[in-house]
Amino acid sequence: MINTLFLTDQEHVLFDALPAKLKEGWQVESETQVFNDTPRHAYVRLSLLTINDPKILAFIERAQATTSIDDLAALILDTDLSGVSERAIAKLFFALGPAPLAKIVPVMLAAAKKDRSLEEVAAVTTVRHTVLSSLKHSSQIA
Amino acid sequence: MIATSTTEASPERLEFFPTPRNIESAFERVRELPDRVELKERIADMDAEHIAASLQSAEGQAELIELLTSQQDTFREAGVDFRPEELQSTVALVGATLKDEQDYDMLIRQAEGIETTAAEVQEASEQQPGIFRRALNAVGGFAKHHPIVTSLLVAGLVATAAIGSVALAAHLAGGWSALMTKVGLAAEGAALGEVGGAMDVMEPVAEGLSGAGAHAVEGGASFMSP
Repeated sequence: MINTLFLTDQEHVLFDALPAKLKEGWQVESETQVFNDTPRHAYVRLSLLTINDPKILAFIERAQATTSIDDLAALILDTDLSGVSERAIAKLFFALGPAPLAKIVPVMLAAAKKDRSLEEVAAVTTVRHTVLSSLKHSSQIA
Repeated sequence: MIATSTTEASPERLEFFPTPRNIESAFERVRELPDRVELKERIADMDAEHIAASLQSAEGQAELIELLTSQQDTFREAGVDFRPEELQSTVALVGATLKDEQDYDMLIRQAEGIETTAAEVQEASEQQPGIFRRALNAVGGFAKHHPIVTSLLVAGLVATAAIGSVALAAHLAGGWSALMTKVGLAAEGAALGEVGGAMDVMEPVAEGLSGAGAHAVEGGASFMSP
């Protein structure tokens, strides 16, 4: 089990506001890594994404065949990722970059009611921490 | 046959973005032209793997930039347009991102228990692989069903699909915000429990990166494994 959350200062405030009993046993490390993502950086990461998962390939084909925003929205909401490998999901997290994950952490923290919720936050922040630590080279390019 | 998103790309002339697959595709187009014996000899061994390696070194980047710019007219004749003045910065960004991706892949392999060299480990991160492995296991377990995380990942796939499809990028143009609103990832007016603006950075990507130096590219994103 993971027992460490990598939180920014702002997220740490939200964690501190949780009930003392819920916070028991959890360690917090400061997330100090910063990556200023841009559409160009995101474009390159997504362009380099290699997908061989049949379910994801099928989703992409269906997305490309849609003809309206409503159809695309319905497709997104109808899609789950069961059966997709952890490797494929891990690579997708890298392609997404840290910014979307940074947006969901406060929402997950604010909604945390039990230990299981914090386990999910810990997992997401660890993935974000790893993605951030991997973006050393492209962070040097404006 | 496994589907790819590349089949939707328009045959019209499209701006070129120097990923390994796109450069390889450009070279393949040049090989179909008559003559150009010297150029064809020069690019004879340059497949995507070779190009990816070149993009990760200063010397390799310089060689590719020189090759592309010196033969710009030939590439244009082959239907590959690019802006020479932007090539250096885009090549540098692609090369840097490839290095980042390689580091991240190494961490995934470590997490999966696949043997890596000590040099790779030191190069990639000082983080303990066991922590990432446990995080991946946990994320793999809940991300598949967690509504917010799933929506984020799937919306990311839509942006990826748009890179490989001129048609999809065209009908997403101006519609990304509306799409995010419908799936609960709106930038504005997010309801309690929704993740407002989480995918803002993807909007120009999904809509064709207008004004950001690139557009949907024929040949599209590299969805297929080698």
